[in-house]
Amino acid sequence: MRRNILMLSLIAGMVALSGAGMSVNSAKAAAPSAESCKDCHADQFTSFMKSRHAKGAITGPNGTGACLTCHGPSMAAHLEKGGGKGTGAFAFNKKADPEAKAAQCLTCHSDSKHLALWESSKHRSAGLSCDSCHSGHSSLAKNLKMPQTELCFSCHKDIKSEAGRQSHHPLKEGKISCSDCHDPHGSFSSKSLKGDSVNELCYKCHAEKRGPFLHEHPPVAENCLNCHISHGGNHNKLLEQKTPNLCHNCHTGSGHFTGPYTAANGFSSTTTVAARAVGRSCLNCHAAIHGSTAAGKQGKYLAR
Amino acid sequence: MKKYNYLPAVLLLPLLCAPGAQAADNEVTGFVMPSVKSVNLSGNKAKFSEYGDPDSGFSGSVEVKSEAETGYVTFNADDIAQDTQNYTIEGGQYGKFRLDAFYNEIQHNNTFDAKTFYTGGVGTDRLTSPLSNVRYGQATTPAMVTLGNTFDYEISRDQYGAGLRLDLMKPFFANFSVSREDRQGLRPIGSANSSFPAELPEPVDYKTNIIQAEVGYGKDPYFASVGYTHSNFDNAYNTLYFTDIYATANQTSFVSLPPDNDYSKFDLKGRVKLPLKSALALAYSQSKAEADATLFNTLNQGGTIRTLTLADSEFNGRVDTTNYSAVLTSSPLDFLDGKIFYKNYDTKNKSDKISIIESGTTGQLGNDLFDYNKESYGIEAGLKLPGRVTLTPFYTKVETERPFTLLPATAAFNPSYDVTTDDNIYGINAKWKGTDFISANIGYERLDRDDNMDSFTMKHGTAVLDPYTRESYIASQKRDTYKLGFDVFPTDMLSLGFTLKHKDIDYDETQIGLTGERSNTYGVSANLTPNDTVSFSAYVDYETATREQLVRLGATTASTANPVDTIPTDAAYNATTALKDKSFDWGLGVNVIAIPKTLILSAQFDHTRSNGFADYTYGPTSAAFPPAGWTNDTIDFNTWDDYKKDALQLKGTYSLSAQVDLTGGYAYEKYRYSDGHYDNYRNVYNASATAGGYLSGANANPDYTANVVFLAAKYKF
Repeated sequence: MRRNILMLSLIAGMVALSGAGMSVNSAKAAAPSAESCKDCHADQFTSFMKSRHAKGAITGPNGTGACLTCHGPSMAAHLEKGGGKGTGAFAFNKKADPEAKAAQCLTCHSDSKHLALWESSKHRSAGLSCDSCHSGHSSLAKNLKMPQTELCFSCHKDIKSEAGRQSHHPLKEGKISCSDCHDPHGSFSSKSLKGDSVNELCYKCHAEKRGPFLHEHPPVAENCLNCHISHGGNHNKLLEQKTPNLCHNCHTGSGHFTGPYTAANGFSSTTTVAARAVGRSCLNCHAAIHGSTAAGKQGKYLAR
Repeated sequence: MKKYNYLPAVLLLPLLCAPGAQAADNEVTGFVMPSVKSVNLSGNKAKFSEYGDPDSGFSGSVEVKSEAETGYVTFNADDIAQDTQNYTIEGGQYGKFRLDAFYNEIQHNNTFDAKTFYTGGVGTDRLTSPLSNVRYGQATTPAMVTLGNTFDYEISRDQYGAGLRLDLMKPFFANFSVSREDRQGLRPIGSANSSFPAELPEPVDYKTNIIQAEVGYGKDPYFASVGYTHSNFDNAYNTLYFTDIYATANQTSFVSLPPDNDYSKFDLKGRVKLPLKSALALAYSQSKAEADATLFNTLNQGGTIRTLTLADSEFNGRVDTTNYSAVLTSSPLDFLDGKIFYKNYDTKNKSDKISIIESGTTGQLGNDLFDYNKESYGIEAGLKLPGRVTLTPFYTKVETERPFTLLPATAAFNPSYDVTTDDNIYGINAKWKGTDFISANIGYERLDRDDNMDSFTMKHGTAVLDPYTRESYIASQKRDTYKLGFDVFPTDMLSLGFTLKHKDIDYDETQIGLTGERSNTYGVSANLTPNDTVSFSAYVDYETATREQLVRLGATTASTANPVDTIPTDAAYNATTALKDKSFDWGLGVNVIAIPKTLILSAQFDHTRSNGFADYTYGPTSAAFPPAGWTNDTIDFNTWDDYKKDALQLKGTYSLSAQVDLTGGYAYEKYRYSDGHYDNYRNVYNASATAGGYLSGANANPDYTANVVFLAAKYKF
């Protein structure tokens, strides 16, 4: 366990901050147009008033506020008719056209830098709209409908399964999130990656792998995903396959690496135990698999 | 390399938000939630808590939100006093600015109580021991067998940083952030001296600083930004020295560790919206990565000191990367949604080219400089058809070049070079929104990859094999991927999801190496909410994956004939490998509102498992293979990273009042692992013979069973 006095400073600062001039649980003045919807849509009113969209400084176009901003302007007709389905208010339901729903949000958010590439995003072309992930009534961070990982997993169920396997990035533990690597609103890279390349992205957290090294391992320098998977798998270190077979995909033909290392070479063998078939296999010797700065043959072989 | 230590002061910047959040209409909400857990564990503590804190004890969470009509400040603290504690504070004024700061700890436990015969220096860059402890091949090797010194393989990341977003001068904006990560611990590293390994504790003492800045303009129809990133990595230990296990005299050997590096990137992005519901987005970036290293001019190999004649003892590494991209999207008609894109990613390795001559070795051992250029372009068209059907055909072309700059070298050391691959990727996705209660999607993708490896001699020394050998990541292949998915909502209470995926890869020009991959993935999920008080959820996932290889020992007599077709007569041998992984997981959850607004009960059970099998088959060529005493039926690894994990959590939350919730629960986890590389694990094997090695215990014996009881009280205000 470690403590950090810095945290105490932050907490102290927060306490001082919250105590200065703030009235706890002070009554909130509701926007009039929201109040007019309250009687019929009590739950929606309550959730909306907890959201940031309800703050006075946040207004829609032309100073419209509250419900009218997203569900209007034909909402006036809805009110005149005494409410009811199909009486004019714009509803963010499954039947509504995704483009129309997104257009409602983009009325205010189209200038956002986060949405600069929305037109080319994979989520848009897959028929999603803002309300697939966000709710104007949400009080969670980024107005998400639910915590981010849970939200992404609700559609990407195959990734959820992978992330639950024995070797995985700490997604389910909450120490990284999908948006650390992917931009759900679109990017210039495939898989909506945030980096110009896979390696650029990986090096952000694994900077020690960046090099440049005296001796590079070309598939490593090209793409981390030549050997690793990103979300989770059955083999240690998020390797796509278990070594030495992973290495055999390229290194075959000559040298000590090419023969099959079988049960005849494992700890349970009564004949021969080989360094290449026990423990971390090839990595028992070729430790500098991501690159070496050792000169000489052993460095060239990424063993030093 | 420049060093930075600017962050602690920056962490207090959010306090400047106070004026924005201290208006009279402030509302302060939040909670304080102290908690305690009791852990009863048998087995591997590190695996149980791979990314967590394994110990019993007190913890808690705090959230404070201060919100006004014009601004806000929020503070969150989670896992307080745990190895995973994290704190964030954020504040700002809506539409004007936002400040944030964070502190986060990430723990990665690998193996506790690993063993070493080094008596000094574990955790530093110098592992020392009396020669009698470490010398391999002695008649008696007491210390190697006793292995009395233990340590933990674990890495701790302490991350902290702060950011500022300015929107005061809309439509102009600016973002600045600084962050730092201190990473410390031990990880296993192999060391080969002569032919046998010694697994050593590598010290990890890294510091990484990142500065990012971005300024831009965003107002429809235009968006433009300029960004700069600088990352500085500092490793306290660039070399690990150790008393050589194989030397006959007291000698020191070394392993190189990651060098310090420095990275900077400059980028431009822009987008303009065009007529006909079109948009053009452009991006350009240029980056530079640098690392320096002092090279050693001797190398200890099995007790023999090799002299290295270096053209330059200082290595200056530098890789420049340029990337530019363009995407044009257009929806000129209601039923058409099109996209055309282009991307060029280019790296140039401008590192020093250093020729190296090693005594006792023929030829030069200089470094090869690896460049990389990837150019991709393609088109995608979304066609909205009647019946709520959307068809999206797509085509992508990817051309990749991998030029090497080679120094003169013996054939044995030449890597494959100038390999180009030419990819054609095409397919179609169809989505049917059907009715209110069903939707479906189906997709097909084909990859045709062509390499040029049949046009030159590669590294293997035995040139006769080259036409038949491919390195899988750049090998020609035909890949077919099929996807099918259904979402069904038979009633308002029930939702069902089905997914199928089939992938088949044929490395059609590879005869030695990875020849094929196949996988099938199935998934079913269900959510049932019969009423407002009870909900059930369930899922099942199953995946089979098979990879097939043909491997060959080419150091013996090499026929000039096709090495595959001549198996019966070739003195060298071939062997096939089929690696089979079956992954299976399922789960069941229930949530019950036992007493409305008072008592909520929940239970979740998850089962995850994998069964692997490595099937080896030698060709009928030599009496030496399979090894004496073994047959093709007995040499298979029947366990191949097999594991089984059961996890159960029972939880209840009782609301004492509107302000106070009490939560209690019980969690159970059981993990069992078996693998042909680890079963019957020994730290020292063949210690009395002339072949063998030393392993420290990394990843060994991860089984555990854990029972956890937890309690928490939440006070809301």
